[in-house]
Amino acid sequence: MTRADTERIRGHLDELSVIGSDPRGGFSRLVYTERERAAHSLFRRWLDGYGLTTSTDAVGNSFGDLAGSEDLPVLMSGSHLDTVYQGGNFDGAAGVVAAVEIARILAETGGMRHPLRVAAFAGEEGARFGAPCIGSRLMTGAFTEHTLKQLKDRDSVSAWDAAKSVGLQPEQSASARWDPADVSCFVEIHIEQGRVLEARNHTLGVVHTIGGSTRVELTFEGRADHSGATPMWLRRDALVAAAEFISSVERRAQRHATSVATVGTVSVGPNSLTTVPGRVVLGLDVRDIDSERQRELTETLLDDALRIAAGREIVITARQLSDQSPVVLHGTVQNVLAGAATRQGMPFISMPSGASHDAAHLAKHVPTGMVFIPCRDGVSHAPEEHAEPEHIAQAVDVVVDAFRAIDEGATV
Amino acid sequence: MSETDGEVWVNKVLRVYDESRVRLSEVDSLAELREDILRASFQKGAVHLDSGVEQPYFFEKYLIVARPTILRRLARFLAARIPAGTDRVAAPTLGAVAIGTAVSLETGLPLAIVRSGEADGSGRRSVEGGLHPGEIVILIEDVVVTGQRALMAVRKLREAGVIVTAVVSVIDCGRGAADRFTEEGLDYDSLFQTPTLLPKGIS
Repeated sequence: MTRADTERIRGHLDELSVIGSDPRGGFSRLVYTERERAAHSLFRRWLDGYGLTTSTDAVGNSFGDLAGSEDLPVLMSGSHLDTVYQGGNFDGAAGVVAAVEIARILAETGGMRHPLRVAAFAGEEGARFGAPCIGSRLMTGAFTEHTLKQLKDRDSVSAWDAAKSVGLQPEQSASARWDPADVSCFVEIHIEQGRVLEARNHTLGVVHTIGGSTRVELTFEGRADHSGATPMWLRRDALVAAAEFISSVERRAQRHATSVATVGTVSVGPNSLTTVPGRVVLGLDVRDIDSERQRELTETLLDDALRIAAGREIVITARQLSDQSPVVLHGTVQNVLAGAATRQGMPFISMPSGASHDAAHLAKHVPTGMVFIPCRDGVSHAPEEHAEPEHIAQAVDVVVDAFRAIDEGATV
Repeated sequence: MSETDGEVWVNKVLRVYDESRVRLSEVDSLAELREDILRASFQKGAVHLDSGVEQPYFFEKYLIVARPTILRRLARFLAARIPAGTDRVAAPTLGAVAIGTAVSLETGLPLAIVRSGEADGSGRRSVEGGLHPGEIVILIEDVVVTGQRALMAVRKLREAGVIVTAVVSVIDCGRGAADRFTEEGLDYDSLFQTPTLLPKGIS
């Protein structure tokens, strides 16, 4: 049986690494830029070379199709090629290169009843427009052309205009809608983006749930005053209130094994050494694989903010930036992947995904699974991000085995 | 759950003094739970169930109770279906016990565990949990197909002298159990019912 070729995987990652290399370090292949499109073109060239039929839809998702011997729904694998600002060359790309290798193996060996489709989704990262998984959500219908017009980057360019500027057809967004009946199963290979696999000394993870997130921007409005002339008892220091809130976030989130909560952005006004901070705007990101706990923790933290503020005569306002529920992945697909890993002699652990992925959106419509591989020191969304081509190759062998099992009748 | 714009709100101002600011509505929560249960446990393929029924699908119910993220929500929705004035919840072995325990924790009502199957002659009690005659008891079930296991549990509970007024289940497979419960003088409520629960193309 044809095995995944580690050197070919390494070669594809190397080819990709010349696209969007950022002079400040890492890679910046933001959604709907020429760089993201160049990566998609490369993806299609690889697949053309293996005899697949390639295409790019109106909103920039690219596909390669390999016919099967019967008229069945497709087996599908893929991920994304865009990055965050100064990200790495493996988040998303590892899964796309893996899917390309799956296609090569199945194209060379043939004998599959099911057709295969490999995908590179447009704009999985939320870095540019705030909303992640733009391509996959346009595909599933969760986003529409209207959403593209609403989403703006930091230069106030809309996603619609950005898509247009790289030659896509956002006005035909509706044509990118898929029919879930066309897909029998979707499996995404992805780097873990954390340190659990390394800590457990494993190189393969089968994901059972993809975490959700609730994001809120909180403004603490106090009063800016002279730091020398204003005695402590007269102050309404917004930053001290925010600091108390931030420690509350850490304490509350420690209560449940599945919850994480982060204040990742703080802006202080007027941000002057000699002025009592009058205003603080902070960003809160609450994540969980438990849908209700995610919201309940956020509610509790909002109550904390109000309580802390009340004691300090601070006024709180809040905006919800986004809200996404955790998604339980299909038990049937996990079973098939676990069986495949066992046949391949690959020990694995069953684990949740803390980060969100295109797979979370596809899972709402078709049987979906996710396979994790480790990334060095757990580093991701940073130039130091690295995954071993050998681990990608192992994951490819497992998914090929799983696809063959489904082709031979395993139910998903 | 059909995906709508509900999934992402960009720049939605929150009324910070409202009781619920970021919680999902009960309707959305239930729809989400339904999808999670389906993804976690639904399996295609013909099976012969213990009840003798052949079905083109089944629910791997242990995959539901094994996930706290599902079981906790399930318990909350089931607890809301336990009538006021209930003294105790009861659950037949094996699969329903975890759900019964979760509902017991959620409501604060004590639990009784009913041994499924015929008496094995070992002299063991058919109902465990120290229930007292005269108590008003609700039976919790996981997946109800014909309802035979539930009815046997109700009989054992009634033999123990308690008043069983209703059965509350997670999934009802629409195979006539509701009528059998009515004949036995039981109210019946299920959180999800096939065929509305089933994915497209399955009946």
